[in-house]
Amino acid sequence: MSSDLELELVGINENESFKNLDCGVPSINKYLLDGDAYYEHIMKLANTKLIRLDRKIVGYFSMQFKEIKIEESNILYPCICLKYICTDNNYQNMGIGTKVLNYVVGNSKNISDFIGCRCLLIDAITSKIQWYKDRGFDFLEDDDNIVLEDSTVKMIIDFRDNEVVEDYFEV
Amino acid sequence: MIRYENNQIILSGKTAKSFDNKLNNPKRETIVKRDIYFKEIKNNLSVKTVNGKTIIK
Repeated sequence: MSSDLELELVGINENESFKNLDCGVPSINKYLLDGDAYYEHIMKLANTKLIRLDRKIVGYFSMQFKEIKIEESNILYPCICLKYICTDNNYQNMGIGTKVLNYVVGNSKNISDFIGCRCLLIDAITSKIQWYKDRGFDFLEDDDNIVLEDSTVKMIIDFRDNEVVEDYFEV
Repeated sequence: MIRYENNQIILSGKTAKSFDNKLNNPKRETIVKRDIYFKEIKNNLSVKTVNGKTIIK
């Protein structure tokens, strides 16, 4: 676990100043700064939380529900998607992203236990792939298709309790 | 192949087979790591609500 940072999660609709937030990725900045995050938040299409440290907004994350569909069989897997997570350039490498991700994974698992949802889907930064793998994440795609030159790669963490499922099929 | 339609991520062909296999026949190693991670979160992540605000520590 990362350090003793105390982070406050603030609703995007609260009167917070984040106009100077810059995580270094234009598309992620744009989603928040251009108002798309707020629109999707109030329409209940996604949920965005601002991350506050010492009274300053230092990042944000957005979540939404999606479905993963297997085309050939029409099987649908409900999933929670961490659409964006970012930390301002001036606050990177302090463990903020890790702490927020732990919060997101824990909460997503609770949601899965409550309403049924198979996995959490994230766009993992390629330089952090091993960090995710060490925590039980796996690639969404076939390993042979992964292009490490891309800036991010889709990874999932499965919420299914395998012991329960194995017991069910053994009976 | 992956394509996106509305709120769906649609997998087909080799990608779909691989994904289905990963979900239904996960590697033991992945599951062990995941369960340790879940336990770590449960034991170490402190979340409290103060005056309606969520604080994570």
